Amino acid sequence: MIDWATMGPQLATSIQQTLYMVIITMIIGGILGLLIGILLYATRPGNILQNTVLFNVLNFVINLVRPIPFIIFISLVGPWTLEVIGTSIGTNAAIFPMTLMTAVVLGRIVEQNLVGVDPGVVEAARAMGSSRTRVLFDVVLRESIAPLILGYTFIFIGVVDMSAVAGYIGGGGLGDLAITYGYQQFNYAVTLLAVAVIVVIVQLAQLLGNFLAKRMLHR
Amino acid sequence: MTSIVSFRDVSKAYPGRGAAKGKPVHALRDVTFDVQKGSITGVIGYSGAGKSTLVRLINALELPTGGTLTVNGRELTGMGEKQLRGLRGGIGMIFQQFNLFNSRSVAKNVEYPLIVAGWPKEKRAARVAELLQFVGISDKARQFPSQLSGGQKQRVGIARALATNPEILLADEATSALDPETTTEVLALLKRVNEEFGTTIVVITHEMHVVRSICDHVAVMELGSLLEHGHVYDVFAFPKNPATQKFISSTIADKPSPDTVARLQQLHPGRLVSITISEAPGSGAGSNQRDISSLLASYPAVHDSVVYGSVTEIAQRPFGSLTYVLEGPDHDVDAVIKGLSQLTTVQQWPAAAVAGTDDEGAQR
Ligand SMILES: Nc1ncnc2c1ncn2[C@@H]1O[C@H](COP(=O)(O)OP(=O)(O)OP(=O)(O)O)[C@@H](O)[C@H]1O
Ligand SMILES: [Mg+2]
Repeated sequence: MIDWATMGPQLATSIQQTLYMVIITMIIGGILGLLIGILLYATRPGNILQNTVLFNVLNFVINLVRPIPFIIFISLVGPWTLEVIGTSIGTNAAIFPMTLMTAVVLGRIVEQNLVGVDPGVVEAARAMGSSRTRVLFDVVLRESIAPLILGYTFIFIGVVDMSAVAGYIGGGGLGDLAITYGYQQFNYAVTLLAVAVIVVIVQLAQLLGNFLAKRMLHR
Repeated sequence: MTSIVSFRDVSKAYPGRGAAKGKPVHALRDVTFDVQKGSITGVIGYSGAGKSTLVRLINALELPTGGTLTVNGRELTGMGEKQLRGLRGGIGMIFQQFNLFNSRSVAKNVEYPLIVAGWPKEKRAARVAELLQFVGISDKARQFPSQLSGGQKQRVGIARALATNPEILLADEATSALDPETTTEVLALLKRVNEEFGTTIVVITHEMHVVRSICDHVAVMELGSLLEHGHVYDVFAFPKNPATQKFISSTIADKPSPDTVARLQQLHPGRLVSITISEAPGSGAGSNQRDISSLLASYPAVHDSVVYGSVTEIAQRPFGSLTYVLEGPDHDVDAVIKGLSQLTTVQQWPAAAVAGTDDEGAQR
């Protein structure tokens, strides 16, 4: 069973570590993903920064990286992590590959949401004399806020998943807790506890995301 | 009247897409015509005729690939992107699907073109209030588009299009997504815009009654070419081009179809003729119906009865077609038809024996 005297503080630390990894990843990866998505959208044939080479390169990289299982991706970018973060183990070392993967996946999600904006609305703005840059920021991005919020909410779950895997490289967090105490020490109750906390975190994020998206949809 | 938009041999070819790559699509071919300042000009034609292309050239959403296009005295060819944006800002546009910004409230939708045009904030609020008042939706200012009916959405669209006091308003199938009653209201609003502000309006439509109720000029298009254009009444009542005649009779539906002709011939013995009711050409006063009635009355041996048709007005002038069955001695019926031909356009339907073949009847 659970010995709360030791497990209590342990759990608190794990929650803190998980939240730390997830939040930092969501912020940095979220911004990078938004930029990649906008760049993909803008370099598309017929758009403002139309650039077939850049568009194809970005597309290729995303298609290449996205299907790599995260645990393999960690070791793949390991040398780079070491160079950028200074170490390849620990919470900060975990955040690096998490951020990269998040940026790549989000890039695609953002691009798809921008492409999905009704071309009629874009045409209406252009007909008013709005410049293409202005159309991108005032209309395309603005009209996609609600679906983007849902996209970010969706990614959040993936990031929590990645944070658990990151336990393997000493990132700590709830995944690490479940593995070291639950799995390796045959304490199933700890595993259940870790699951319960993750479910709560994910559900809260989902609720918040849905709430914000709904407000932005104005329905 | 002076012209505000003038097309001179304007062509537009799009590069072919997909399977047709390398083979350009000729959306417009050598179009020459003028839109009169202050007019409401209708553009009609079957799907794919090039109507939207024609209108999108006026506000430079597309650029011509041939010919010269002059809008508001300025030639479009050679203009830079910045100048083109300025030009677009002075032309309003409304759409079939309204194309409102769903993430912005009604008031913010109407405000947006003012922001683009660089109006100071203090002036914007007053202008938005004035516009919403004009289109009759002041109470909806804080609502979002998804909370409005189709008619209300189009009113927002119109307010937004008029925000910067444009000299030209383009409407691409602006009432096609609305029910008949709402269509009438929106058309009345457009008419009011034209009358109160003198805005030149170009409306694309496939609904004949739109042209009938608000347009004073009309242009008929087919397969990228402009077949005919002029005053609505002249084009509708006396179409010169056979394709225009066909388009008009198919959309007005006041002439019987081949099926109907066959049925009528079975029901009624006698000769079937369709005649055009209009102002007698050149007379400029009253319909030709009076002369037609007198003519028929002067042949008592010929019994006439109307079996199909309708008479209405276009641009407040009489317009329609009536189909008669004429019964009597052959000689007299021939004389009546000859007399009618001098008064109006007569279409004789072939006798019952040949009905049902592809022969559409002779036009005199
Ligand atoms: N961007 C484009 N690229 C390639 N072809 C186009 C493009 N826009 C229009 N076309 C083609 O040009 C022709 C005329 O199209 P247009 O949209 O002007 O017709 P329309 O009269 O408005 O038809 P509808 O009544 O269906 O709206 C069509 O054959 C269409 O397929
Ligand atoms: Mg069209």
